Amino acid sequence: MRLIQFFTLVAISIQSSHAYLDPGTGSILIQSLIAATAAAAIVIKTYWYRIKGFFSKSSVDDSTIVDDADNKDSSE
Amino acid sequence: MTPITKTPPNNSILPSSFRDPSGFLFEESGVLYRQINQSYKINYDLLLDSGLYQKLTANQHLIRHDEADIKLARVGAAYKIIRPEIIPFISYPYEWSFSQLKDAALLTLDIQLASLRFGMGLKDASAYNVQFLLGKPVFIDTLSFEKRVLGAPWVAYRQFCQHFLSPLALMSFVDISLNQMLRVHIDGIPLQLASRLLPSSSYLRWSLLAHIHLHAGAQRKYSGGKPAGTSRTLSERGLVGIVSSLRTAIKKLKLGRQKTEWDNYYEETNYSTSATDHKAMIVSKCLDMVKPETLWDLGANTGKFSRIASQKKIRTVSFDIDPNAVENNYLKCRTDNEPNILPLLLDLTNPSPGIGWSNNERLSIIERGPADCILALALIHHLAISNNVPLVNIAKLLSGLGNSLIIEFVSKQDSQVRRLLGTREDIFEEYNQDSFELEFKKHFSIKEIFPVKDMDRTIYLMARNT
Repeated sequence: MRLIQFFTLVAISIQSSHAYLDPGTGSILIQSLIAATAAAAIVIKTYWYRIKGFFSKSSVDDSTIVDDADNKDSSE
Repeated sequence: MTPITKTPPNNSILPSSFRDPSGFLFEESGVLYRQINQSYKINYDLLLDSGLYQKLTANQHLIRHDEADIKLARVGAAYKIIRPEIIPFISYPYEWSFSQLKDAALLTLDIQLASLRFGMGLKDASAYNVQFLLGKPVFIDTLSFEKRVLGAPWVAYRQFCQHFLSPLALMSFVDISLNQMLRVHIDGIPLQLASRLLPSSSYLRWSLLAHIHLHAGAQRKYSGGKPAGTSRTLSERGLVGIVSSLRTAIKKLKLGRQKTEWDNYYEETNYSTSATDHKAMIVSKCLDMVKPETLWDLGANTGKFSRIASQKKIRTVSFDIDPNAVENNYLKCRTDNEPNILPLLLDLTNPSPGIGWSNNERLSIIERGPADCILALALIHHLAISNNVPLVNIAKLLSGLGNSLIIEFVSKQDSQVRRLLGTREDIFEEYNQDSFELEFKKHFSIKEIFPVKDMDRTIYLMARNT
């Protein structure tokens, strides 16, 4: 539960979007934590692809990067 | 033969679409329409003008629609009336196999990712927003898209976890039959419940630790409201990260080998190839006589006989009680790209009931009928002997499900029936061909009788009485 207390430090205040579903406070908190780690993984991957792309001249779309972030994740 | 028809009031609003104030579905003169309210105008226009609709419909991820006459509008401030493409048979997540639910989950994530790229996002992520059309999952709720508010989190994140991740994780880690929990929990399996039921090994997988266990803990801790803290928003990159992380979670879930009762049926029976071929020939002949547009195959196992119908372009729903059989049937459909067959899980002795608000938010299996034709091969002995259902009840049920019936009577001399009776007292005096004909004639007229070669079985073609 210490981890959850840690989330309080990264708690977010969200602008109203007139949603008809209640996103749930706990769900927003956990989402922000996962978003931070997963986004970092994607940034790393994006740069990696750019470096790879520079040498191989191949282009990469977003879904490949998202998928590749999966592959990275799945090696845990 | 008079077809059984349901006669809903002409301008009836469908009981499944009342939660979202953006609009609702209604039926007029047998045509399905969706009213879009003024409150959804900005989002609908953005969906179409941004190119997102075109992108998602081009790859068959989203249901297509045409705009219809605004004069059809029902209650409230209508902005548009649209006529969506029709889904021939509505199915629900508790009727899907593991891979069907998994494909529906991945589709939902693909759509969320595409929406983010167009400045939008999904405002809900209900499994009921996905249906199967021509063998593939398709998103059917045109009103689920909304303009992304800068910095806002994914409002449907929790719903996605409840509708998809929880049941898939439970099916993978605990038992394949646990998608049945969706029958009880109409808004998905609560995360705290899923977290309690999952084994401790699931904590070792980061994606499940985060999206289910820690998520459930955070819900429990902050159930009272928002804690004080520093302000922070979610960037688009963060939202893409959430989708990526959920894709990992879903894709990594696999169905381990869980032995079920009927998953080796065809391998375990001792019937000769010529008898099976003869049976297939009879079924094919019956179908050519009936010429149905829709067929429900009850007790289809992995769909061997369903495929005789689907290959004749008959829209076939291939029901079975065994989750592994349905899974294997779906995997075959997917591999072979079969458009006319929909495998679904169904226990005929306890079929899908009407659930949700007023018991009619999600329809019972009977309400989704009747089919033009019912195929019931190798089924009657399981109902009559294994489940003690009298023939009179079986005849009555089947007469409500379809207008024609192709049914196999399996005599007591048959090896499978002898096996069923081997472990119990034979209390089934009335289980014989004469009683069978007598009871079924009360509801049907018998058109043809075909004894199956080398088998103690007979196939009947019947038409429901007018």
